[in-house]
Amino acid sequence: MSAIETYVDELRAALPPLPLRRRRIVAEIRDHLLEVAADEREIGATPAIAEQRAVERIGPPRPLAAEFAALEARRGIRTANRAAPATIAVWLTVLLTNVLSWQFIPEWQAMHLSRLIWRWQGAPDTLQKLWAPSWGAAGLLLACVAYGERSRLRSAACLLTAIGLGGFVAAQARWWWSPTSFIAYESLLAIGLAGALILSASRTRREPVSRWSALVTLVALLPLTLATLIQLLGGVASVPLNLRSAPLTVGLWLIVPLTVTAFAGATRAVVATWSR
Amino acid sequence: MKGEALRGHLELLLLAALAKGPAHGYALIERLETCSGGVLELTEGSVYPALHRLEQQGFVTSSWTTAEGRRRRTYRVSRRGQGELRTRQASWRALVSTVDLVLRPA
Repeated sequence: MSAIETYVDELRAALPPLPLRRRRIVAEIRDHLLEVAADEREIGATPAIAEQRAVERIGPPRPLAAEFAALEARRGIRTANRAAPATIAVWLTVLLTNVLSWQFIPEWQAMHLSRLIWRWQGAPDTLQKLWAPSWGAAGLLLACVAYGERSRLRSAACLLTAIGLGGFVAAQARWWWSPTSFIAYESLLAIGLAGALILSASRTRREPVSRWSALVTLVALLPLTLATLIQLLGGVASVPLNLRSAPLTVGLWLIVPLTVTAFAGATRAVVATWSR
Repeated sequence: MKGEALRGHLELLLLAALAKGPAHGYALIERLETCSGGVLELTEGSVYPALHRLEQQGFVTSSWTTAEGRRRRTYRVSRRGQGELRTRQASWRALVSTVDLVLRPA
Protein backbone atom coordinates (compact mmCIF):
# COMPACT_ATOMS: atom_id res chain seq x y z
CA MET A 1 0.00 0.00 0.00
CA SER A 2 1.28 3.50 -0.81
CA ALA A 3 2.38 5.93 1.89
CA ILE A 4 -0.59 8.17 1.17
CA GLU A 5 -3.15 5.36 1.41
CA THR A 6 -1.55 4.12 4.65
CA TYR A 7 -1.72 7.65 6.06
CA VAL A 8 -5.33 8.10 4.96
CA ASP A 9 -6.32 4.75 6.53
CA GLU A 10 -4.69 5.73 9.83
CA LEU A 11 -6.42 9.09 9.76
CA ARG A 12 -9.80 7.50 9.02
CA ALA A 13 -9.37 5.09 11.92
CA ALA A 14 -8.43 7.92 14.30
CA LEU A 15 -11.30 10.25 13.37
CA PRO A 16 -14.60 10.17 15.35
CA PRO A 17 -17.12 7.73 13.85
CA LEU A 18 -19.28 10.43 12.26
CA PRO A 19 -19.52 9.01 8.73
CA LEU A 20 -20.34 12.11 6.66
CA ARG A 21 -17.84 14.29 8.42
CA ARG A 22 -15.16 11.64 8.30
CA ARG A 23 -15.68 11.14 4.58
CA ARG A 24 -15.26 14.85 3.93
CA ILE A 25 -12.09 15.18 6.02
CA VAL A 26 -10.49 12.08 4.53
CA ALA A 27 -11.30 13.20 0.97
CA GLU A 28 -9.88 16.65 1.65
CA ILE A 29 -6.66 15.38 3.21
CA ARG A 30 -6.16 12.75 0.50
CA ASP A 31 -6.55 15.44 -2.17
CA HIS A 32 -3.98 17.56 -0.35
CA LEU A 33 -1.48 14.70 -0.12
CA LEU A 34 -1.90 13.77 -3.79
CA GLU A 35 -1.31 17.36 -4.81
CA VAL A 36 1.80 17.73 -2.67
CA ALA A 37 3.12 14.43 -4.05
CA ALA A 38 2.49 15.63 -7.61
CA ASP A 39 4.45 18.81 -6.87
CA GLU A 40 7.29 16.76 -5.38
CA ARG A 41 7.39 14.56 -8.49
CA GLU A 42 7.60 17.68 -10.66
CA ILE A 43 10.79 18.71 -8.93
CA GLY A 44 12.35 15.30 -9.49
CA ALA A 45 11.34 13.01 -6.63
CA THR A 46 10.44 9.41 -7.37
CA PRO A 47 6.75 8.50 -6.77
CA ALA A 48 7.54 6.69 -3.52
CA ILE A 49 9.70 9.52 -2.16
CA ALA A 50 7.16 12.11 -3.30
CA GLU A 51 4.41 10.37 -1.32
CA GLN A 52 6.67 10.01 1.70
CA ARG A 53 7.48 13.74 1.64
CA ALA A 54 3.79 14.63 1.31
CA VAL A 55 3.00 12.57 4.39
CA GLU A 56 5.88 14.10 6.36
CA ARG A 57 4.81 17.63 5.46
CA ILE A 58 1.28 17.25 6.78
CA GLY A 59 2.33 15.72 10.11
CA PRO A 60 1.20 12.56 11.98
CA PRO A 61 -2.46 11.50 11.56
CA ARG A 62 -3.43 11.12 15.21
CA PRO A 63 -2.89 14.74 16.35
CA LEU A 64 -4.64 15.90 13.20
CA ALA A 65 -7.60 13.61 13.93
CA ALA A 66 -7.65 14.86 17.55
CA GLU A 67 -7.97 18.46 16.34
CA PHE A 68 -10.90 17.54 14.14
CA ALA A 69 -12.51 15.56 16.99
CA ALA A 70 -12.25 18.62 19.26
CA LEU A 71 -13.97 20.70 16.60
CA GLU A 72 -16.80 18.19 16.27
CA ALA A 73 -17.26 18.08 20.03
CA ARG A 74 -17.47 21.85 20.19
CA ARG A 75 -19.98 21.91 17.39
CA GLY A 76 -22.16 19.25 19.01
CA ILE A 77 -22.16 20.73 22.49
CA ARG A 78 -22.92 24.18 21.13
CA THR A 79 -25.96 22.85 19.30
CA ALA A 80 -27.17 21.07 22.43
CA ASN A 81 -26.51 24.10 24.63
CA ARG A 82 -28.67 26.25 22.42
CA ALA A 83 -31.49 23.86 21.66
CA ALA A 84 -31.97 22.49 25.19
CA PRO A 85 -32.86 25.78 26.96
CA ALA A 86 -35.19 26.63 24.10
CA THR A 87 -36.87 23.23 24.48
CA ILE A 88 -37.35 23.75 28.18
CA ALA A 89 -38.70 27.24 27.62
CA VAL A 90 -41.26 25.94 25.14
CA TRP A 91 -42.26 23.15 27.51
CA LEU A 92 -42.87 25.65 30.30
CA THR A 93 -44.81 27.92 27.97
CA VAL A 94 -46.93 24.98 26.83
CA LEU A 95 -47.71 23.97 30.38
CA LEU A 96 -48.67 27.51 31.32
CA THR A 97 -50.74 28.24 28.23
CA ASN A 98 -52.40 24.83 28.41
CA VAL A 99 -53.72 25.69 31.83
CA LEU A 100 -54.75 29.18 30.71
CA SER A 101 -56.46 27.91 27.56
CA TRP A 102 -58.67 25.54 29.56
CA GLN A 103 -59.44 28.45 31.83
CA PHE A 104 -60.33 31.09 29.23
CA ILE A 105 -60.85 29.57 25.77
CA PRO A 106 -64.27 28.17 24.92
CA GLU A 107 -64.45 24.71 23.37
CA TRP A 108 -64.09 24.97 19.60
CA GLN A 109 -63.30 22.46 16.93
CA ALA A 110 -59.77 22.73 15.59
CA MET A 111 -57.34 20.66 13.66
CA HIS A 112 -55.47 17.89 15.38
CA LEU A 113 -51.78 17.15 14.92
CA SER A 114 -52.41 13.80 13.25
CA ARG A 115 -54.92 15.37 10.86
CA LEU A 116 -52.40 18.07 9.96
CA ILE A 117 -49.81 15.46 9.10
CA TRP A 118 -52.28 13.75 6.74
CA ARG A 119 -53.43 17.02 5.25
CA TRP A 120 -51.86 15.99 1.96
CA GLN A 121 -54.70 13.57 1.33
CA GLY A 122 -57.54 15.93 1.96
CA ALA A 123 -56.01 19.27 1.00
CA PRO A 124 -58.42 21.33 -1.08
CA ASP A 125 -55.83 23.17 -3.17
CA THR A 126 -52.21 23.09 -4.31
CA LEU A 127 -51.00 25.63 -1.79
CA GLN A 128 -52.29 23.51 1.05
CA LYS A 129 -50.67 20.43 -0.46
CA LEU A 130 -47.33 22.15 0.22
CA TRP A 131 -47.89 21.55 3.91
CA ALA A 132 -46.90 17.87 3.98
CA PRO A 133 -43.65 18.12 1.95
CA SER A 134 -42.75 21.26 3.85
CA TRP A 135 -42.42 19.18 6.99
CA GLY A 136 -40.17 16.79 5.13
CA ALA A 137 -38.05 19.75 4.10
CA ALA A 138 -38.11 21.07 7.65
CA GLY A 139 -36.86 17.68 8.82
CA LEU A 140 -34.07 17.85 6.28
CA LEU A 141 -33.21 21.33 7.49
CA LEU A 142 -33.06 20.13 11.07
CA ALA A 143 -30.82 17.24 10.06
CA CYS A 144 -28.49 19.72 8.37
CA VAL A 145 -28.48 21.97 11.43
CA ALA A 146 -27.77 19.03 13.73
CA TYR A 147 -25.09 17.81 11.40
CA GLY A 148 -23.60 21.30 11.23
CA GLU A 149 -22.76 21.18 7.56
CA ARG A 150 -23.01 24.42 5.61
CA SER A 151 -23.80 22.79 2.36
CA ARG A 152 -25.98 23.24 -0.66
CA LEU A 153 -28.25 20.62 0.87
CA ARG A 154 -28.89 22.97 3.75
CA SER A 155 -29.63 25.90 1.44
CA ALA A 156 -32.02 23.67 -0.50
CA ALA A 157 -33.69 22.57 2.73
CA CYS A 158 -34.10 26.21 3.84
CA LEU A 159 -35.60 27.09 0.48
CA LEU A 160 -37.98 24.11 0.47
CA THR A 161 -39.07 24.84 4.02
CA ALA A 162 -39.70 28.47 3.19
CA ILE A 163 -41.67 27.57 0.04
CA GLY A 164 -43.66 24.86 1.79
CA LEU A 165 -44.52 26.79 4.91
CA GLY A 166 -44.99 30.02 2.96
CA GLY A 167 -47.42 28.27 0.64
CA PHE A 168 -49.33 26.81 3.52
CA VAL A 169 -49.53 30.16 5.28
CA ALA A 170 -50.78 31.74 2.07
CA ALA A 171 -53.43 29.02 1.81
CA GLN A 172 -54.43 29.50 5.42
CA ALA A 173 -54.61 33.22 4.97
CA ARG A 174 -57.06 32.68 2.13
CA TRP A 175 -59.18 29.91 3.58
CA TRP A 176 -58.81 29.89 7.27
CA TRP A 177 -57.44 33.16 8.52
CA SER A 178 -59.07 34.65 11.55
CA PRO A 179 -57.63 35.91 14.81
CA THR A 180 -58.57 32.61 16.47
CA SER A 181 -57.26 30.31 13.74
CA PHE A 182 -54.52 28.49 15.50
CA ILE A 183 -53.42 26.69 12.32
CA ALA A 184 -52.19 29.95 10.82
CA TYR A 185 -50.65 30.81 14.16
CA GLU A 186 -48.95 27.43 14.17
CA SER A 187 -47.57 27.98 10.67
CA LEU A 188 -46.04 31.28 11.68
CA LEU A 189 -44.54 29.62 14.71
CA ALA A 190 -43.06 26.89 12.53
CA ILE A 191 -41.46 29.48 10.26
CA GLY A 192 -40.15 31.27 13.32
CA LEU A 193 -38.70 27.99 14.56
CA ALA A 194 -36.91 27.33 11.27
CA GLY A 195 -35.53 30.89 11.30
CA ALA A 196 -34.41 30.59 14.91
CA LEU A 197 -32.65 27.31 14.19
CA ILE A 198 -30.82 28.78 11.22
CA LEU A 199 -29.78 31.82 13.25
CA SER A 200 -28.71 29.76 16.24
CA ALA A 201 -26.69 27.43 14.04
CA SER A 202 -24.85 30.34 12.48
CA ARG A 203 -23.84 31.78 15.85
CA THR A 204 -20.68 30.39 17.35
CA ARG A 205 -18.71 30.55 20.55
CA ARG A 206 -15.54 28.81 21.59
CA GLU A 207 -15.62 26.42 24.50
CA PRO A 208 -13.26 23.64 25.47
CA VAL A 209 -15.34 20.45 25.56
CA SER A 210 -14.28 17.58 27.79
CA ARG A 211 -15.61 14.05 27.38
CA TRP A 212 -17.32 14.26 30.76
CA SER A 213 -19.10 17.54 30.04
CA ALA A 214 -20.35 16.03 26.78
CA LEU A 215 -21.61 12.94 28.59
CA VAL A 216 -23.27 14.98 31.34
CA THR A 217 -25.06 17.06 28.71
CA LEU A 218 -26.35 13.92 27.01
CA VAL A 219 -27.50 12.36 30.28
CA ALA A 220 -29.17 15.62 31.31
CA LEU A 221 -31.10 15.59 28.06
CA LEU A 222 -32.42 12.06 28.51
CA PRO A 223 -35.43 12.93 30.73
CA LEU A 224 -36.37 15.77 28.41
CA THR A 225 -36.12 13.50 25.39
CA LEU A 226 -38.10 10.78 27.12
CA ALA A 227 -40.80 13.26 28.16
CA THR A 228 -41.09 14.50 24.60
CA LEU A 229 -41.30 10.97 23.21
CA ILE A 230 -43.99 9.96 25.69
CA GLN A 231 -45.98 13.09 24.95
CA LEU A 232 -45.60 12.60 21.22
CA LEU A 233 -46.47 8.90 21.12
CA GLY A 234 -49.03 8.64 23.87
CA GLY A 235 -50.18 12.09 24.88
CA VAL A 236 -51.39 13.46 21.59
CA ALA A 237 -53.76 10.58 20.96
CA SER A 238 -55.64 11.39 24.13
CA VAL A 239 -55.83 15.14 23.54
CA PRO A 240 -59.37 16.26 22.61
CA LEU A 241 -59.81 17.92 19.22
CA ASN A 242 -60.51 21.49 20.18
CA LEU A 243 -58.81 24.83 20.50
CA ARG A 244 -58.04 24.17 24.13
CA SER A 245 -55.47 21.61 23.05
CA ALA A 246 -53.80 24.14 20.77
CA PRO A 247 -50.95 25.06 23.15
CA LEU A 248 -50.01 21.42 23.52
CA THR A 249 -50.24 20.73 19.80
CA VAL A 250 -48.35 23.86 18.81
CA GLY A 251 -45.83 23.26 21.56
CA LEU A 252 -45.13 19.74 20.38
CA TRP A 253 -44.40 20.94 16.88
CA LEU A 254 -41.70 23.09 18.42
CA ILE A 255 -40.58 20.75 21.14
CA VAL A 256 -39.98 17.66 19.01
CA PRO A 257 -37.49 19.20 16.55
CA LEU A 258 -35.80 21.16 19.33
CA THR A 259 -35.39 18.02 21.40
CA VAL A 260 -34.06 16.07 18.43
CA THR A 261 -31.58 18.86 17.67
CA ALA A 262 -30.38 19.07 21.27
CA PHE A 263 -30.07 15.31 21.59
CA ALA A 264 -28.29 14.95 18.24
CA GLY A 265 -25.83 17.69 19.22
CA ALA A 266 -25.05 16.09 22.58
CA THR A 267 -24.67 12.66 20.97
CA ARG A 268 -22.29 14.14 18.44
CA ALA A 269 -20.20 15.69 21.22
CA VAL A 270 -20.08 12.39 23.11
CA VAL A 271 -19.06 10.45 20.02
CA ALA A 272 -16.36 13.00 19.17
CA THR A 273 -14.88 13.21 22.68
CA TRP A 274 -15.05 9.53 23.64
CA SER A 275 -13.51 8.33 20.38
CA ARG A 276 -10.35 10.42 20.91
CA MET B 1 8.98 31.55 10.37
CA LYS B 2 7.72 28.18 11.64
CA GLY B 3 4.20 27.14 12.59
CA GLU B 4 4.76 27.58 16.33
CA ALA B 5 5.39 31.33 15.93
CA LEU B 6 2.12 31.64 14.04
CA ARG B 7 0.00 30.14 16.80
CA GLY B 8 -3.03 32.37 17.33
CA HIS B 9 -2.56 34.16 14.02
CA LEU B 10 -3.22 31.32 11.63
CA GLU B 11 -6.92 32.10 11.28
CA LEU B 12 -6.19 35.76 10.51
CA LEU B 13 -3.65 34.72 7.89
CA LEU B 14 -6.05 32.25 6.31
CA LEU B 15 -8.86 34.79 6.21
CA ALA B 16 -6.54 37.34 4.63
CA ALA B 17 -5.33 34.82 2.05
CA LEU B 18 -8.89 33.77 1.25
CA ALA B 19 -9.93 37.39 0.84
CA LYS B 20 -7.76 37.40 -2.29
CA GLY B 21 -10.03 34.77 -3.81
CA PRO B 22 -11.54 31.31 -3.25
CA ALA B 23 -9.00 28.50 -2.89
CA HIS B 24 -8.58 24.95 -1.63
CA GLY B 25 -6.32 24.11 1.32
CA TYR B 26 -3.09 23.44 -0.54
CA ALA B 27 -3.50 26.49 -2.78
CA LEU B 28 -3.98 28.57 0.37
CA ILE B 29 -0.76 27.26 1.88
CA GLU B 30 1.08 28.10 -1.33
CA ARG B 31 -0.57 31.52 -1.46
CA LEU B 32 0.56 32.31 2.09
CA GLU B 33 4.11 31.19 1.36
CA THR B 34 4.22 33.25 -1.84
CA CYS B 35 2.73 36.35 -0.18
CA SER B 36 5.27 36.14 2.63
CA GLY B 37 8.17 35.75 0.18
CA GLY B 38 8.75 32.21 1.46
CA VAL B 39 9.16 33.35 5.08
CA LEU B 40 6.04 31.57 6.39
CA GLU B 41 6.42 27.80 6.69
CA LEU B 42 3.07 26.47 7.79
CA THR B 43 2.58 23.06 9.34
CA GLU B 44 0.30 21.79 6.62
CA GLY B 45 -1.77 19.65 8.97
CA SER B 46 -2.75 22.68 11.06
CA VAL B 47 -4.36 24.47 8.13
CA TYR B 48 -7.34 22.13 7.68
CA PRO B 49 -8.65 22.17 11.27
CA ALA B 50 -8.24 25.96 11.20
CA LEU B 51 -10.28 26.16 7.99
CA HIS B 52 -12.98 23.93 9.48
CA ARG B 53 -13.02 26.11 12.59
CA LEU B 54 -13.47 29.23 10.47
CA GLU B 55 -16.27 27.49 8.63
CA GLN B 56 -17.92 26.48 11.89
CA GLN B 57 -17.79 30.10 13.00
CA GLY B 58 -19.43 31.18 9.75
CA PHE B 59 -16.42 33.16 8.54
CA VAL B 60 -15.81 31.00 5.49
CA THR B 61 -17.98 28.75 3.36
CA SER B 62 -16.88 25.75 1.37
CA SER B 63 -18.07 23.52 -1.43
CA TRP B 64 -16.77 20.70 -3.59
CA THR B 65 -15.41 21.77 -6.94
CA THR B 66 -13.84 19.70 -9.68
CA ALA B 67 -10.53 20.76 -11.22
CA GLU B 68 -8.29 18.66 -13.45
CA GLY B 69 -10.56 15.68 -12.83
CA ARG B 70 -10.13 15.87 -9.06
CA ARG B 71 -12.73 16.90 -6.47
CA ARG B 72 -11.53 19.62 -4.14
CA ARG B 73 -13.01 21.42 -1.20
CA THR B 74 -12.86 25.09 -2.12
CA TYR B 75 -13.16 27.77 0.55
CA ARG B 76 -14.35 31.35 0.24
CA VAL B 77 -14.77 34.19 2.73
CA SER B 78 -18.36 34.84 3.78
CA ARG B 79 -19.73 38.35 4.33
CA ARG B 80 -19.41 37.73 8.05
CA GLY B 81 -15.83 36.64 7.50
CA GLN B 82 -15.02 39.86 5.68
CA GLY B 83 -16.21 41.83 8.70
CA GLU B 84 -14.23 39.57 11.00
CA LEU B 85 -11.12 40.04 8.86
CA ARG B 86 -11.41 43.83 9.10
CA THR B 87 -11.81 43.59 12.89
CA ARG B 88 -8.84 41.25 13.28
CA GLN B 89 -6.69 43.36 10.95
CA ALA B 90 -7.45 46.44 13.02
CA SER B 91 -6.60 44.72 16.30
CA TRP B 92 -3.43 43.25 14.81
CA ARG B 93 -2.28 46.69 13.65
CA ALA B 94 -3.11 48.16 17.04
CA LEU B 95 -1.09 45.41 18.74
CA VAL B 96 1.89 45.86 16.42
CA SER B 97 1.98 49.63 16.89
CA THR B 98 1.68 49.26 20.68
CA VAL B 99 4.48 46.71 20.83
CA ASP B 100 6.55 48.96 18.53
CA LEU B 101 6.13 51.82 20.97
CA VAL B 102 7.43 49.67 23.80
CA LEU B 103 10.32 48.25 21.80
CA ARG B 104 11.45 51.63 20.44
CA PRO B 105 14.96 52.48 21.72
CA ALA B 106 14.99 55.15 24.40
